[in-house]
Amino acid sequence: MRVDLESLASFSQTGDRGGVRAADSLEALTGVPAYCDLTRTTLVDGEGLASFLGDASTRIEVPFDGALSGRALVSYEKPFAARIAEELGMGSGALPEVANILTSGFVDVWAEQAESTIDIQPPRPVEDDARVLEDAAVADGSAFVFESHVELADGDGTCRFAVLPDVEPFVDYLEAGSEDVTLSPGELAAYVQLTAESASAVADHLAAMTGIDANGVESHLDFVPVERVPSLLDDAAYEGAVFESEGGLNTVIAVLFDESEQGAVADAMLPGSDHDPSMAQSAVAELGNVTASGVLDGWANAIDTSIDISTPSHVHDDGRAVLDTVAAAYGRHADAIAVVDATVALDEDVTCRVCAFPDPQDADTVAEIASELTGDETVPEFPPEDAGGGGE
Amino acid sequence: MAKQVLLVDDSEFMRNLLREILEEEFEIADEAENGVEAVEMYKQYDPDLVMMDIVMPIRDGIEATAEIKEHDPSSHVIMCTSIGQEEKMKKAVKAGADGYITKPFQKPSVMDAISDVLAA
Repeated sequence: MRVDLESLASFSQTGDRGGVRAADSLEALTGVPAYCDLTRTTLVDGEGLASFLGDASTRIEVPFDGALSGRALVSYEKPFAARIAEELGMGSGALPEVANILTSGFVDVWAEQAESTIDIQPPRPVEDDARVLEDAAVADGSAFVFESHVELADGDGTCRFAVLPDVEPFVDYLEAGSEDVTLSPGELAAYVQLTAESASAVADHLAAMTGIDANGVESHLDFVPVERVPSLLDDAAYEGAVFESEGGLNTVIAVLFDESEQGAVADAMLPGSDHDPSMAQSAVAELGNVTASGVLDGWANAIDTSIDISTPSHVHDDGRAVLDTVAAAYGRHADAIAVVDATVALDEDVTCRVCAFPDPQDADTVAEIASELTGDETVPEFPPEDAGGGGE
Repeated sequence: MAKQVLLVDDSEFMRNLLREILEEEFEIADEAENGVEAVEMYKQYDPDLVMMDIVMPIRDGIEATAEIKEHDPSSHVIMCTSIGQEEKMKKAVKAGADGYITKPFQKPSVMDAISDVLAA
């Protein structure tokens, strides 16, 4: 049983078409313009699944089976649920039917892609999140989650559509006709481990640089259609640094702080000083440099290669604009992209978001790194063994 | 007389941090922001020690180290970088680096590395 990475990415892309169809159906039903936003297929550590799914005021479960089997979880934020209830004049009784319609939008395109059928069962409210999590299919400690956000045009909250597929039918679905880079479930688990290790490195380096211990680390691996990459961040203003790497692996890494937290970061790194803006900007760029290097070092050392990182490019823009450049860079030669996505909370006031985008053309290298990471990598000693003599 | 140190890093913040760590015991000869400036300043000041970043614009620290070592084989250069990759360390050794400190660092690790290099 092996999973083709390209198929995994194209599953997201097909799902994205389903998201557009679902949004169109919602718009037809309610008369309120709706659109599909974020779409991704994510590998989540089983223990982090509850946190990944988050809270919702109303959650509806829609089981399905056929070419794919599993469950859709349609989670409504309160404003979204209220608006739908108001538009349809049925109170909260409308929400299961809306979940039904949205789920159809998604599974229909997957069924068409497989030239088969997927049957959905009647929607039912989720009374107990714990039961949903217990029933989630987890292979080798990791769970697949397909996720898409459907939004109303006038901004009344979000409907979060998540699919928890059963593992074996999902892998079979992806497997068909694949001859590209493939991974076993164990290797996919290593991919998730790579993501977790990277997030842990980020937390360690942030704590060392700022003197503030991390009190929350979340990470997951996303497979995202290139055109949806900007939607990984919201449209709030961010400040930070973007790096490119080349050599053993071509990657773009963005290390970003919410604009409003930028001052707190600089204060932590420049204690007691009345710092000028250029020094504060330099401190944050250096924090990004150390953080990005920490991630890439682990990857490079895992496969005994070197990865060269660029000097930091300072960015200060809304999140989508920051990631738009990544999408533009990769959009020329890929339809979908893997994203190592880590969020580290240093305290209530400071959160760091690190998104690493390995070049899709280097997928085989990332797979090799994932399978070689052992989780106990340390910084190598200087001078390294067999380094040879000095004086070049 | 205090030994002279040349600080080389494109980050103003890191140069400032190193200056704060070192200026009690060393004389800071000057600060360079890239490898080209580093080589020029080395020839100008002939410092006892260079603290050298690797990733910098115009010319990186490994190339600059090789050039300094070619100019003065008895020079002392400690790489002071965020990169902790073994292959990169090998390149630094080949360029002639005498020591290697990985950011983020604390004052004791910096002072230990300097002691080791200057005592060698």
